[in-house]
Amino acid sequence: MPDYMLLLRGTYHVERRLSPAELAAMMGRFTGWIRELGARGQFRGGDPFQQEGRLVASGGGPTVADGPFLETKDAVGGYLILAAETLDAATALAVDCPLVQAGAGVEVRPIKLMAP
Amino acid sequence: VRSDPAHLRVVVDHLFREEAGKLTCVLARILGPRNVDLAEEVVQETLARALEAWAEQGLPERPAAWLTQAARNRAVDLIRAKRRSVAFAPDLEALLSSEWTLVPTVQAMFHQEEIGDDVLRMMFSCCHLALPQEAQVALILKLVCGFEVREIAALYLASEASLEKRLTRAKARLRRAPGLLELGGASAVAGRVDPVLTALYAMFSEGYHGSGPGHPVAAVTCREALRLCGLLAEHPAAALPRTKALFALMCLDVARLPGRTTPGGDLLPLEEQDRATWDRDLIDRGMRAMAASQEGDALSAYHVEAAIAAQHCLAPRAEDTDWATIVELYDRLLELHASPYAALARAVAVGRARGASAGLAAIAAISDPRLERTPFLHAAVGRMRQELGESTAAAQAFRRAVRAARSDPERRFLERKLAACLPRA
Repeated sequence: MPDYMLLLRGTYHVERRLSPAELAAMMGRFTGWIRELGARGQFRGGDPFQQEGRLVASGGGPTVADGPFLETKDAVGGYLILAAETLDAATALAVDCPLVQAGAGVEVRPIKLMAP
Repeated sequence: VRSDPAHLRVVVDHLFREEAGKLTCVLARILGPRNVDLAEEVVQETLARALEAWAEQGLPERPAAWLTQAARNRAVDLIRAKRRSVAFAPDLEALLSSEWTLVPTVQAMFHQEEIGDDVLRMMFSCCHLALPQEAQVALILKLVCGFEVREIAALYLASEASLEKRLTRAKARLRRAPGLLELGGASAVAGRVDPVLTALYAMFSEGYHGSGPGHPVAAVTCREALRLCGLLAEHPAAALPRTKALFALMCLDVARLPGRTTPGGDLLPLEEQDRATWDRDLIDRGMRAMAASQEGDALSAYHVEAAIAAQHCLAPRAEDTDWATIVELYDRLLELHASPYAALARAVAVGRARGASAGLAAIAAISDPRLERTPFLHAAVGRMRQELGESTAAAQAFRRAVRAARSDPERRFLERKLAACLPRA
């Protein structure tokens, strides 16, 4: 099974919008979802990101800025790497993700195997 | 807040007995039995850190909660440091590998209502069928009961070095299992109940006849053994008649602990105990468990010992004790499980039921060098000689008992007895 990276967007926005009880319930569902993926051997890894970070402008150079990532609804808040048979199957998994169900966006990107 | 080192040491010793086993079991559940050494390390480090922090800042308001939180934090650090190289419990591996789920997962494991189940699963995991029973029991005492190697070695009259070796071999077997034993398989559990009961009985006895200096009765050890036995008695697969009988025995003995010592920690003999201090609710619980243990026709030593304890609980006053029945029960106990200690207890009961001469004859019939080294034998002889008016022989026996005393309270108790049979100056 090939690996897919799920880039989760807008997770900070979701966290701010939910009440503490709703957030706890959602994280409970999220944990259950990961547990199941783990049991099926499809969970490869993943972590949330801190809100603070740096943005280096393309082209390198001296233009380095602190990222106000939390301001935008599509700020990347974390990633997951899942194994799935096809891009469609990976997408179906992404749609089931409780964070996505709660309003986060997700970019599903197959890991590219470079030609030898 | 008191924080003088001696007081702190006592508090930490008690907490260790109550918490170390529980923490080790939860950690072994999370990290997997193959990392049981890591689990033990985390507990040791947590306790060492607690001693340090508390010596400086005084005892926290809820020391047990403090320990749990410290162990949890230490576990999270350790998992982060080792998760790329070490395999933990297979069913938690994915959850522990990700920062999305690591902390909530560990938190939930420490919080869960089923910590009792983890403790049970650990006890049964220790009873691997390929291990000799002595090793199974030693492993339970070490990992679940919070015993130190020195204490287990003393129980088995073995050297610490040889016990350490035995434990290492037993742990190697435990480490081969990917996860703790599942409790689902009733037959798998039932086949492993006996070593678990043996371990809990040993733990209880160590508390009840505590040999530690200054602690003739370690109530905290007895209560923890009772709690663990209660878990077994409530689990459908483990609640065999003999499990219920052991639970009954522990209830009936723990119920009488408040009467066994003075507030100053001195031992009180049965006839001087204030029976109003006995815990009637716990006696009722013990009696109910004893009734429940009668199902089936297998009679275990635990059944008989519980019946003996019940005889004492049922007597409104010491002089109402039915010693004749107690002698019969000891006869049955000796048939099921011959031990010099039970033989001595029988002889004492004979002395009460049929008079001191009969008691002395019963004592003379036991010959076991192990008894000679304990204060119990000499104290029993002293009492009977005294009853017969043979003060010189009584004093001689009590002097031997004093020499064999294992703790200060025990010594003070026997010195009082000795003084009572010396002629007044």
